[in-house]
Amino acid sequence: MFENQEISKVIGSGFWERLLKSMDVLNIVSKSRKWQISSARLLPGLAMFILFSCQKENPSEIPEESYQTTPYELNIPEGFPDMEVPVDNPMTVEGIELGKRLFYDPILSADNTQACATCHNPGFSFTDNGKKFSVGIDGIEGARNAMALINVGWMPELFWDGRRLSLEDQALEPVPNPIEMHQSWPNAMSKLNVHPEYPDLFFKAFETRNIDSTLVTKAIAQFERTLISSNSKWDRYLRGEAQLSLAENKGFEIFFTERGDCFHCHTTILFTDNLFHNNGLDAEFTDKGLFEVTGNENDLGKFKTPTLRNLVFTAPYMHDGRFTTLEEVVNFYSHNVQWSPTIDPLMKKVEQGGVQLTDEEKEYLVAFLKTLTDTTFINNPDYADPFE
Amino acid sequence: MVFATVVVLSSCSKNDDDVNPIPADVQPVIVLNHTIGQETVVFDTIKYSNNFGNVYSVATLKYFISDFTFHKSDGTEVKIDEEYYVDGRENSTINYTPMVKIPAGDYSSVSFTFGIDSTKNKTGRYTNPPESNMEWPIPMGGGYHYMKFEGKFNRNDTIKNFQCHLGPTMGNPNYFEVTLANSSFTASGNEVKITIQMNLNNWFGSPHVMDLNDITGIMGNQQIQLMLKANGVNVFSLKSIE
Repeated sequence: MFENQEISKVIGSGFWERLLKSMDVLNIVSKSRKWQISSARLLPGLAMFILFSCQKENPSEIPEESYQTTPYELNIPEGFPDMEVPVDNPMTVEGIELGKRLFYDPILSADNTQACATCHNPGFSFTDNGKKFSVGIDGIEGARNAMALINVGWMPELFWDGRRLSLEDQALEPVPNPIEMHQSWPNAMSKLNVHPEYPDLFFKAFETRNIDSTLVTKAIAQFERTLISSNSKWDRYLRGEAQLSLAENKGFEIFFTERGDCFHCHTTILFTDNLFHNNGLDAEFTDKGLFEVTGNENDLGKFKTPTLRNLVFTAPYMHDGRFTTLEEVVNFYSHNVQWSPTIDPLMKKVEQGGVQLTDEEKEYLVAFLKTLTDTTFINNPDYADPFE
Repeated sequence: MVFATVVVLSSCSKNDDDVNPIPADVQPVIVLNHTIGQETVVFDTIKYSNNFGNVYSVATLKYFISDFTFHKSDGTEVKIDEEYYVDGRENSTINYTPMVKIPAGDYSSVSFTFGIDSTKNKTGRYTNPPESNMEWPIPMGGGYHYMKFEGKFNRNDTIKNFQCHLGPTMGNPNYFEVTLANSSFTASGNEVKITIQMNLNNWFGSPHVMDLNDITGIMGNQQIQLMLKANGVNVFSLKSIE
């Protein structure tokens, strides 16, 4: 059995690198920038594995059954940021499969009629079927538009007001929410723990049959981190695989210059800065947005910047779904921006109502926005309902 | 947030057989104070006055500084080839500890680049936020903003927005070098702390008196970029070296 001191020594002499290589993990590491970063996070887990192996010298401590999870390699597209994966929720093939099943299973709602996917339909880029507001199992309507689950693994704060700081945390909310799935977590746990299949699936993913809300949300979060879109016409244009039309090109210039000035908030390859802004929708607020979370008056009317990827599938638009078409959105930014004390300083020509695009420019801009459409994302069989 | 660490040393060899002791390396720490005049900036309050007479607030202050260089009287220099991102609202970013140290000894001055030089300021250099959010789009030349300094001002009882965004307009090298006056010092001990003051009012003050009404949508306006560049060298001063 290693003494701790000896373990430290072999770590320092490149032991982990050799171990990773022998486990054929290093090849995975070298394929992906993400896993190069994550490899450091693997080490504590491996250390535990080694210690556990040493303890196996005592036969009485060998568990009766064990299951080796299969590490999942996230394929981070070129130019995308590193994805932060919680140290205590490494992605595995089994965890993702379980998370997908839970995402589509209405068992998480009190009357077994609604799943996560009910309001986050992949055909609508994981939004709610074109609805302004989602309706829970008791027929009660919510107050904010369901956000798209697309590239959510790169979103450090969830919900329009950013009140949850991880996908795991976010997934805790809809189940007990009285206007959504309206089922207590203890009740959901009871149903899952007596289910004929779930205990085994949790064992394969987390090596325990004792299902709790933490493991449920971990599995769902693992699935959600795989929801990556990087194959729109825009992406293919960046890769040199597609050409933009004349109108799309003109829209591209409007979007990425201060003529339209869309890019300051809808920035980077993600088309969001993941920050919070008051974009001038209202002079007074019925929904106070980020203020509801921070209590800071400077945050009144601020909402999270949504990604524009796949926006042709995510209508209606804005936190309250007030605009039904892209043309309405573009008209708003051109002519109807409202001043209020917390309006974002990035908003230009507020006193004129906005950036004053011409009708022709609006058409170009919408043409460009449609290049962000990724049908391979909404049709991806890896994301599809496993019960169908 | 620090990037690309390569130190260019004038001369520093290590030989175990040396009789004379080798000067120990000293960790430089750059502290950035953001002020209006001598007053530390309070964000989101319309109360500051510039030379033009605008009364304004500061809502956003994000910028890059890079290539800190420590000059010696014999003409040699120690250059720290790093870019550093500062968000004035985030206290965690206002103390910049470079990833390399400088040799102990006497230095005659300190200089740095405001922004990022053209050889490094290329689209794709940063993929992770917050730096990636400083993107300066390709149709305007590509690369990253040097600075986003935004706020509101009162004009004839109407509150308006301004966006003082500096960057490489159509590839122009609008970054500039700042040499801190009276910045000679002796590096010794473990650390030398260099406190730099950024007086935001001076962006609009000298030599060009600027009206905030003109500081909106300026990313494509090279004339205003050059005026701000000229003003920028008067924005920074050395507060202390200890």
